[in-house]
Amino acid sequence: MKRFFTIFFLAIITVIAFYVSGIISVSPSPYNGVAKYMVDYTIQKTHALNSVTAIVFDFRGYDTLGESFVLCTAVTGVAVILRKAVKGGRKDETK
Amino acid sequence: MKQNKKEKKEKKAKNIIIKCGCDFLLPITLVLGMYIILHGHLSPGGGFQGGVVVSAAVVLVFLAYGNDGIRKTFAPDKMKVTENIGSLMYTFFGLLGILMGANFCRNAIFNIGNPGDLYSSGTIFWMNFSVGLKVMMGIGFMLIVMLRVLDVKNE
Repeated sequence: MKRFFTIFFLAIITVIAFYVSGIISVSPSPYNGVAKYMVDYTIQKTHALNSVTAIVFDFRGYDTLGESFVLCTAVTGVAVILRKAVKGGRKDETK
Repeated sequence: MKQNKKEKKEKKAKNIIIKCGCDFLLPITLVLGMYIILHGHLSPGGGFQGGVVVSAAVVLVFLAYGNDGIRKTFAPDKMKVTENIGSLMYTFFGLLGILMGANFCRNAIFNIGNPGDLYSSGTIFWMNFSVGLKVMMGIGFMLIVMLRVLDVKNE
């Protein structure tokens, strides 16, 4: 029974994936959308010559905010998993 | 006895070569990393890349002087605090758009200076700086903690 459900849902997901990729390949190119706007108005809107930095820190600033908090989480995880090492360092300092 | 002395001499010579190389490379690495962070809006690079280049200083000090050198040189507690200050700075410059009467993360002060100057492009410059501060402190703290594991396991 478990095996039947696994195969059933995998089949449904495969059909949906093929359907969506077919729709994407048929629909018209999104080049005239927000990508063209970013390339055309970079210097006018942000006064930055490096357009990659302008996109990362201005047009997509919210994305970079989350990206930098991911690093905060990674540092917290390392400090928790290796807390023996952190404590060992402190012990040597107090000695 | 003779062999022991010879081995010690060879070890010392190797150490001297590594120490001289690291002492030569350390200031160049720091200056190059700060250059990449501060010129993020003019040349290739940015906060993330420059921060990682600066945090390579931890590895250079470890290679030359070992864990004792790291303990004398860096202060991990202050590094943790500085990382949080960096993320608060980024959030503040995101909120500056709301304070100036637009949406979140809007570049409200973009027309300071001409395009091509070092201090231009408003909040992009400051966001680059705060992300660079955050990344260099975060990666440096992670490297220090991971390199200390080598000492703990040997005891």
